[in-house]
Amino acid sequence: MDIINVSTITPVYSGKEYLVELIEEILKIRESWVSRNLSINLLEAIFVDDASTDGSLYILKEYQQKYHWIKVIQLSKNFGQHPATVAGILHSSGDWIFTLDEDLQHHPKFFEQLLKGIIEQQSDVVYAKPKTNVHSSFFRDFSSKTYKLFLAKLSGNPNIQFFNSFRLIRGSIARAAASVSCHDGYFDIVLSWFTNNISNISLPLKDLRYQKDKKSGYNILKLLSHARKLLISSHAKIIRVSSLIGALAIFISTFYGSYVLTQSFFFPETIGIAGWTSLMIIGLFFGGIISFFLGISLEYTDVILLQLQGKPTFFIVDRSSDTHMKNQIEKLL
Amino acid sequence: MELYFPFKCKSDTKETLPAVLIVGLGLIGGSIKRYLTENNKYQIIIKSPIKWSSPDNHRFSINKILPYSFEQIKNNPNLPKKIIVIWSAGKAGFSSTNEQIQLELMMFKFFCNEIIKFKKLFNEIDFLLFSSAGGLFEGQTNIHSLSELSIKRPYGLLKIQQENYLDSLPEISRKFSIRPSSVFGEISNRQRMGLIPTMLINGLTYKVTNIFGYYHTLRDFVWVEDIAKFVCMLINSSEYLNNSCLNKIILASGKPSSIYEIKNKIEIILKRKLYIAFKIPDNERDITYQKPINIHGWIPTPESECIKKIYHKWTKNCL
Repeated sequence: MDIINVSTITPVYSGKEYLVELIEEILKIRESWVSRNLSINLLEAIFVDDASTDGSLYILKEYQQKYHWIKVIQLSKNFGQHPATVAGILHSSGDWIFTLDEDLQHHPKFFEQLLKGIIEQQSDVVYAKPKTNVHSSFFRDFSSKTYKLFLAKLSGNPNIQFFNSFRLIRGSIARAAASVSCHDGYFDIVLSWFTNNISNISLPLKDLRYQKDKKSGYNILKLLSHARKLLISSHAKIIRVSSLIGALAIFISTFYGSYVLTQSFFFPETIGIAGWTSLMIIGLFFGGIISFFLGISLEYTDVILLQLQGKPTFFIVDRSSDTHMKNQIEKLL
Repeated sequence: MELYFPFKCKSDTKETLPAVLIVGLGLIGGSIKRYLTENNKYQIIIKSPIKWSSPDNHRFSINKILPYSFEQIKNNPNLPKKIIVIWSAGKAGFSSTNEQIQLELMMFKFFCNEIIKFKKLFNEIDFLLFSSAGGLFEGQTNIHSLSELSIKRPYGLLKIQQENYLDSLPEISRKFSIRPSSVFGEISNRQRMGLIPTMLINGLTYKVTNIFGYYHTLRDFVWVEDIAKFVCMLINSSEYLNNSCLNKIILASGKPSSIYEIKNKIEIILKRKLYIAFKIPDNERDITYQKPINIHGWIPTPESECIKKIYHKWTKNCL
């Protein structure tokens, strides 16, 4: 019977306090799957050291010596969470990949629920959706939710509101997305280029580090940078709005210009005060033309950019082992 | 088949460079030959083609070449005390039939039986056999030195039979079966190149590359120059040969790469799209390896770097 291999990817920056417990929890899951004689195997746990500053690397290296299935990848400098996740995915060979944070905000005990979720909903990607506020900070949680909702509407990609770094992804799709991800891109946006079979399940997630120390891995500047990346990567249709506004301005100026001309030729007595009407109409007309063609050229640029970034024309996926996986998950639960 | 002697034979010192006999000068053998001769450590003594067209022709050519070589070198004052035989020959591949592999196995056994006669000239005969990790562990992931074999086709059977036959020869002092993963080399008209240079040259010439697999198929690609460097290190270091407890060596990079990833990397370097066609996959299962540890001197070059080197060398040669 075919074994279903699962990889875990964890970017590490300042996880010294939580790493040992995290690895022990992953080990428990691995041993539990073995003891239950399942065809699901936790093949590897990949930790990507993103130039950690608190000695996390030493802990990881120790565990790497102890367990052959623990892999450690060391990045040359701090590249950020998404690039570190991408690096980990590109070194993986699992049929399914969990990505999770270093600080037990994403507990390995939820792995089985994510597996269940992905099979029940027949998805290629499943995100963990926090049941309650993760950070216990109203402002942070509210602004994050609102911003994602706003972008989901603007970009036409409804999955944006569910984006979370605790994910389960089909291996082939994860690696394909990772291989075209660039340094300034948002990994989840790239993931959505390859599949629409994206779902989410509610889990009780808590940022223990933030609640305990009121410290987060992200300061306000990093959060804003994160938001900017999401905006740029989502290819929000703002430029299309520009074309629409331009077209509208052309239409209004043409219509109103015709009306005013007719009025001035045939009914000049109805014009009360002579003024700058013609100037306004001409300004509106040519402003509309500029706006319209700017929008068109930006659309062309967007098409070229997407091509350069590697948005695929198509991608083939093999879902033939999903039935076998479903049987194994049922045994698991 | 080519025989090489070291330029300086320090017969009165502990360090003695061995003679090297390379059988098969294709992708791997050709690269080893270049490394041996480039640093002026080795010179070619005998160069003879071996016929592979049929077993009779093969036997005939071996029967002619080996005794001839024996006669040529037996009175050579610079005769080294030891010889390393490197077998990187063979026409069999993943799609070979049982009949084809039986012929090749027969040729290999015949060659081994003849080479043993060189024991009269050399104190020690070491043998490096190039096997195939892909053929022996097909369809497995995270392969390491203790993984169980998984032979699914005649090619894998050929390789394990070659390894077993070599292990059974008491006359050979040290036997190494080197099991490389998916090997690739430079762009060349004359020999098999591997997937990566094939995609490169097809991309450069606007041709279609036929992929026997899927975009998501995982492989572990190793550059032939790294293999050649490693083998030359083995040749030059008698300590390694004497002290190594590994006689089955998997040479892999430990980094799985999908065909999609390779395609994207090549497209970035070439700044153009590749044309890809997918053929009915014959060996589409993922084959990945753990990063080899305890193989001193094995330093695989990252594939992005290899792709750039191959591309720049090709453009330099064109200019």
